[in-house]
Amino acid sequence: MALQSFGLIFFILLAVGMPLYLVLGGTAVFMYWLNGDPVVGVFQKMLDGLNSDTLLAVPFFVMAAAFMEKGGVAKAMIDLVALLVGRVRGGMAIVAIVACTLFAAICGSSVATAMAMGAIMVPAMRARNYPMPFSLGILAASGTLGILIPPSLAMILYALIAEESVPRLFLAGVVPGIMQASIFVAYAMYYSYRYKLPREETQHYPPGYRRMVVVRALPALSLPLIVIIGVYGGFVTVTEASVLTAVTALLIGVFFYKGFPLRATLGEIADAVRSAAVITIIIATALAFAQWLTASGVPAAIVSYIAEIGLKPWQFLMIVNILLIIMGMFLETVSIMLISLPILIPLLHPLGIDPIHFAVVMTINMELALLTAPVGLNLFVLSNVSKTPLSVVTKGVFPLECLLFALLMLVTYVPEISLWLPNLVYGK
Amino acid sequence: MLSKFLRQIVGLIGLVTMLLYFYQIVSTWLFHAYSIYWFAEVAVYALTWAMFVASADLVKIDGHIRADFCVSRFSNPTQRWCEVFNCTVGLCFGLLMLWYGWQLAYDAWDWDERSPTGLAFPLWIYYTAAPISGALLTYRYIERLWLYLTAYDPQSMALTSNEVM
Repeated sequence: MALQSFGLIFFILLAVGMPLYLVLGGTAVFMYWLNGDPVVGVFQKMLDGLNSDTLLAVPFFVMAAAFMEKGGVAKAMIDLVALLVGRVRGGMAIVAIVACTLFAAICGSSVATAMAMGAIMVPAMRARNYPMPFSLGILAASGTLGILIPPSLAMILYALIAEESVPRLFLAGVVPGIMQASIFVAYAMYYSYRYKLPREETQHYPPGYRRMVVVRALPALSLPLIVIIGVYGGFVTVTEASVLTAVTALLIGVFFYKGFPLRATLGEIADAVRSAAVITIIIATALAFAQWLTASGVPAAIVSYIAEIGLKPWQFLMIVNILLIIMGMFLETVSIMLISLPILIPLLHPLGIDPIHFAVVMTINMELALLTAPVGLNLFVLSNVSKTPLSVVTKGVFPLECLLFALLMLVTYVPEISLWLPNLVYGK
Repeated sequence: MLSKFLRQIVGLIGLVTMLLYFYQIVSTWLFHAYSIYWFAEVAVYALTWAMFVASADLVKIDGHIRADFCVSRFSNPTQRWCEVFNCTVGLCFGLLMLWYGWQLAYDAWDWDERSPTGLAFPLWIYYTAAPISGALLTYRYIERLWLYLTAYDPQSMALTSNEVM
């Protein structure tokens, strides 16, 4: 009875467009009340669950992303990459992918990556007469690297719900992230040669120009080093790295790139905290919801059902991938993760699936969700930035979505791709 | 007015928290004698408190994530009544959060409940996030409910979703 009530209430509330925190919190309150548990437990869990040092990394990385987006970091990176790889055929597409990869290494958000890169790269690619669907597809798909390459907000969310190590999760995203960027570069090169996209003309830069571009990019390039050297050198925790990244991004954005004035800082921070608050309140209610879910025995019932029908891990992963892709069409990423993880995480151990490996599978699914119509947010971002119909972006992103799906299959069934690096650094 | 005030409070807490945490990291490395170990713990309480309160105020700008795929396909009158229902549930949730949050904060104050650290931070201060957030939620949902019942404008009140990741 409780289970049926739960399922019914949950999906009705979702369908009528109720905010997700209210769906999770409201369901938790109702189920506590239905089971005769004290309702105060919901609010106690919300407050206690948020009392976590790891959670602070979310607002600080969101602050860092805002400072970088406004601060002119993206332009410095693009100039550097254009200098290095811009002269091959279709060079601007490769510049877009490599610059997105670099930006992803300092920013944990896919939307921020697509927005920052799109604002600069769309006019550049348009000026060179690149086909718009191709340009927008490349930018939308490469922007999703923001949540795969560390630091990643998606991985931090996963760590909070699954109680996993954030540095280990970050490392697990590195190899698949580099693979994704390489696959996209290969596709861009193939497309450029096939459709004879223009080469960049050999430019005669004024003396000192190259040096100036490199020097200008150095502060931006120092940002990923804070996470890499700081966290993996054992000097700081992930939260401390997020604080250092935010402070450094603020200083170089205001004083070096002069992207925004110092007096605008308070407003930028307030907006970043509010953005983080959108996620935080969902985490809080998801934790209360997960507590009820675990106590209700739903995951245990699913585990015994799986054992009964003899479901193999590969079959389970296939089913989960299909479900996540379907959910990705209709829900956005935070919702998918916080709805599905409390149910899926307890099933991993009995099936012998490594939660770190599963985190990468989940994240690539979230990347696909960002690109899948009708609710793929990166599609909207690029459509808005370029003032182009959504159908143009959707058309351009389709081949890259297929490639991303192929990568998902590879990562799902070859766990070593995700686990090799964390196991190498931390041991099994 | 209230939103502007809350935005400034939240911005200030964010800035102070970032600077305190930064000071703690740098002082731990460079001048250990001047390091204040409890800054990080206070930062957790302060920023979480700020996010809790900020999240309640987001109701005003419809800033919360929702799955609008289904409801956006409904006719305008249906959408309107769905939102009236959502606001009513939100209002009840706000009231429950205010009531139970108050109980939690009061009990923590009454029993002098403190964090199990060297700082022994009085937890009632942190727990006030729930009643304050609950009160704000209640106020914002009453405001929104009133708007949807008396002045629904399909042009400007269409459902939207947002995302930060």
